[in-house]
Amino acid sequence: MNRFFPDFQRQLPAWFNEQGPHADIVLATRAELVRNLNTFPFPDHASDAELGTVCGDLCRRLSRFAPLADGWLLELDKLEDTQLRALQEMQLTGRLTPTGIRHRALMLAPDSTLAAAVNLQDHIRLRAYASGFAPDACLAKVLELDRLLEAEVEPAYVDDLGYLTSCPTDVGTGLHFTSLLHLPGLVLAGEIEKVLNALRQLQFSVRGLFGHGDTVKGAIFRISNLVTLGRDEQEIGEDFGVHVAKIITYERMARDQIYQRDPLGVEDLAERSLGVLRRARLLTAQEAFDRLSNVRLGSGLGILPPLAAGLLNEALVRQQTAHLELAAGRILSSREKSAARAAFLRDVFATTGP
Amino acid sequence: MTCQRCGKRDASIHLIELVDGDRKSLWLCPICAGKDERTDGAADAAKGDGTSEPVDSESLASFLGQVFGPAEPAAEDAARTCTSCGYSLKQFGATNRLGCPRCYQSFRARLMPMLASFHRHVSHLGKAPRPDTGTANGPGEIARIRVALEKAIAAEDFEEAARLRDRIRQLESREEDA
Repeated sequence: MNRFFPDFQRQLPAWFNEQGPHADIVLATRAELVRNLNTFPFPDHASDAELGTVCGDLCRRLSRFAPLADGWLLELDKLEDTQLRALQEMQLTGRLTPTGIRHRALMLAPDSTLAAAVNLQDHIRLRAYASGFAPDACLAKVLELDRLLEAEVEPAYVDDLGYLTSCPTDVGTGLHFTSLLHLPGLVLAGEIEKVLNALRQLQFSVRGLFGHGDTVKGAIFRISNLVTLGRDEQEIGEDFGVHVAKIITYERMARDQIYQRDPLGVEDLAERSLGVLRRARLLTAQEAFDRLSNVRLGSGLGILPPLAAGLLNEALVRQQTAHLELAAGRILSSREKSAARAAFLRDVFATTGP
Repeated sequence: MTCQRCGKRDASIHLIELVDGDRKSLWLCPICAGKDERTDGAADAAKGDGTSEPVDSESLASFLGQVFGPAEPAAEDAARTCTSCGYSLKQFGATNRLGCPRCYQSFRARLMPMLASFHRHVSHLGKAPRPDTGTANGPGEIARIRVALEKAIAAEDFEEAARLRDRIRQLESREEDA
C-alpha cells in the first residue's frame, strides 16, 4: 500500500471518465455497505485506544485484499486540511476537519473504484464506484469486498435486524446507493422540485451536490436510498434503479422540451457559457458550476461539438478550491482563487474543447 | 435560499414539523436554528462533528424530529443506559447515533417504533454473514415471506396474502416439529 497522498492532479478516480451508461446525465454511482465489528463500541463512542486497535487491525487486514493491495492507505489525521477538502471535492469522503480524525483511515484501490473508510461513523464502510448509472455493477463489487471482509472478522449482526450500525437509519443491509445526476433540463423547465419531492416521498434522500435548497449550483443532485431494512440487497438495488431510470427519462424529456420551445435561448446559454469558460479572467466557484452545467447541457443536446470524455467531470472537480490550492501549493485568497480557476478553465477549454 | 427567520443568512437546515397532520416546512440558517429548541438535533447534525458523512444528516435530523418530537425523553427513559457500553438514551437523542452493537438490545423498546416508521419494516431481509452457515428454510425465509405478506396486504392483494400466510404457518409448524 502507498501511504502518501495520491497524485490526483495527474489522474482523477477512474469513475470520472464519463464512459458509463447514461453518463450524459449520471456522473457516477456508488454502492456502500456499512459494517461494524461485533466486539467494539461504534467509533463515535470509542476510546482512543479502542479506535487505534480497530484502525490498525482493519487496515492491516484490508490492505491484504487483492483489490485494495496495490492502492492507497490514507491515515486521515496525517493529511493537511487542503488534502482533506480535496477528498471531499472528489466525492471520496464527507466533510472532514483536521480535528478528531485520529485513527481514521481511507483505503483506495489503485483506480479508486473501490474504497474502504475505517472508523468514519462506523467501523467500516465498503464502497464501490462506477462511471454513469451502474448500480448492479457497484453492488456486485462491494459484495465481493464484503465477502473478503467476513472471512476475516465477525461483523455486528443479529438475525432480526441484520447488520448493526451506529445510526439506526443504516441498520439491516447497511446498503446505500448514491448517484450524482445532472438535471439542468428539469431545473430550467421548473419541474425539479416536483420530481425531487416525489423521490423524498419514496424515502430517497435528495440534495444538491453544491449548495442547498433554491441555491443548488450546477444542477447536480445527489440521490440515495434511505431504506436499508426489510428488503434484500437486490431489491434495494432494483428499486433504486427503477426510480433513477425514471428521473433520467424525465430529464431527457425536459431537455428536448426546453430546446424545442426556445432553441435560440438554449443555444445562447450553452455557447455563451463556453465563451465565458474560454475567455474569463476571474471566475467564482458559483459561476463556474453554472457555466460548466450549461456547457454540459449544450454538449448533451448536440449544440456544442462533443467534448473529450471525462473533460467536464475533470473540470468540475479541479476548479474547486482545494484542488486549485493543491495545484498552487499554497492557500489562496478569494481573488487568487477566482483568477486561478479562470486560468485553469481557459486552459482546459482552449486546448481540449471544441 | 435565505433563512426564513432572519432573512439574511443562507439557510442550510430544513425544519419539517407535523402539526395536526399538516407538514410545515421551514428553511433556517444554523444560527437561527441554534436558537430554536425544536432544531437542537438538526443543528448538531448539520454542524457535523468532523467525521459525519453529510449524505443523511439532513433527512435524518428532520426525520428524527418527526418521530421523537420536540419533547425531551421522559426522565427515567433518558437515564436508561446500555448495559454493555454505558451509552444513554439521552445521548442517542442528542446525536442520533448509538454507542455499540448491544445498544440495539438495550434500547429495543425505543428503537423498534422508530425503525418501523423510517424503514417501514422491522425485520432484516437480505444477506447474513457467511451464508453457508445459515439455514435455507429457517427464520430468514419466514421473515422474507412476512415482508411479502405486508406488501400484498398493502396492495390489497388478499389472495396472495392468504397464500403467504399459509406458507408462514407451514414453515412455523415445521420449525416446532423439528
